[in-house]
Amino acid sequence: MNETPDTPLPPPPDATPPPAKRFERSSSDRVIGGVCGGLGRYFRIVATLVRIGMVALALLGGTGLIVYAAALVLVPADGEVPAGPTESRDRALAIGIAISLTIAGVVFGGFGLGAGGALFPIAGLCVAGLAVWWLVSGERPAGGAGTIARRAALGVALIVGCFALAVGSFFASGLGGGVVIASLVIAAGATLVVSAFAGGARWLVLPALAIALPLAFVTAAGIDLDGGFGEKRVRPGSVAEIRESYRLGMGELVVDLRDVKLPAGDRRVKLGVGTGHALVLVDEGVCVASTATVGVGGVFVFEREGGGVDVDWSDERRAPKSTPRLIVEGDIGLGVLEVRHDGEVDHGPGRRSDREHVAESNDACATRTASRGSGASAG
Amino acid sequence: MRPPASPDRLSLIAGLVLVVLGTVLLLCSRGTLQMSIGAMAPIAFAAVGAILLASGLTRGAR
Repeated sequence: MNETPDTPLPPPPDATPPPAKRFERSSSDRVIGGVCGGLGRYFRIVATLVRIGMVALALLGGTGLIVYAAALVLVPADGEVPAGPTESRDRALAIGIAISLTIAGVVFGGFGLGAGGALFPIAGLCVAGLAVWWLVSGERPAGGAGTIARRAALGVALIVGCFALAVGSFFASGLGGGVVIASLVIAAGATLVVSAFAGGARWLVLPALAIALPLAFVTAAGIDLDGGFGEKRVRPGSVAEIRESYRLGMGELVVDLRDVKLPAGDRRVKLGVGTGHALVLVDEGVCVASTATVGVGGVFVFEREGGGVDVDWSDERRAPKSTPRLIVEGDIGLGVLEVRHDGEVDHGPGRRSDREHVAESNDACATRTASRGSGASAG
Repeated sequence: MRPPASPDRLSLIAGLVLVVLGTVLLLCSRGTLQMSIGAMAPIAFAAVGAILLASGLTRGAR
């Protein structure tokens, strides 16, 4: 009987081929969503270089933000469970939304991709939404595309909601509701303290801050929105028509005194603007002395200017006996006080550089007795 | 015997910060206290910073 030698069998060939190279978001090497980590792994380069490139693209027209936002929604994370029917639907929905936003951005924005165009704010808002959600919930953007899209949407809703609250608080505070807003902040704080012993109410923190911070700004800058909104132009024809004070809540207040023949001596005019631009136009034969407090903004009196935060402006001038002197007292919360001779009243404060060639000065005054102003540059 | 549950630190700290900030704002709104932006800005930033700090320190501890 022949015995066959007991030779070991060759190992069976590997039935499963090596997995195909896939681009997936990295769950181990990530700062936000693991997109750059995944790209680095896919192309076998250091992820930091990819991150630098992505930041550069984000700064150059916002393309990096768009790419990142799209990758967050469309690219699966590594180790993610294969998409089931629901996730497939979510992904299809996310792709549909992304394509719709892209088309809408190109069509309505009228810009190309290179310039970022309308896509930039949309992508920026999506990324900001994700970041906010991440900060608030502590959950990193992981999971299926549908989950990420939902989180981004919740984050965007949070941003929009807080922005609406902040705007409401700004106007309510400026219109005299500061005490009510402050009381609401205290009530929210007290509720948070009490709720801390019963599980907490963290959701209350953001809305409370959203109303508290605008109130803090309005109060500190001294913004008073009483007096109406929009554009207000007054052009008295005689000295008797000049009022002692003019006030506007928000917008542009123009007091044009060039038609008035001011007699020698002092004439005082007070201007109050909560937010905006106050402009006084005077004849060249009038000497102008000015004092102003500006929360945030600037003062431009002929060739002199000053600006910044908590501006305390004073430009005291004396006039010869036969020359009229106009004393302008400005109270601006957020904005600009301007005094000049030329009549192009449609200039906003931000467009002052358009007319910098116009040499204006306070020549009617005899001497300057004292002056001060934050950041003021004497002419 | 189970130890009493510890309070949610973020809610506690944020609540206290908001009460203090709200009180300052109330005094300013009523005219009792005069504060410029230079004085108010550090207070507001400190409040936000304290809440962020508490949030970072308590993250995941809930």
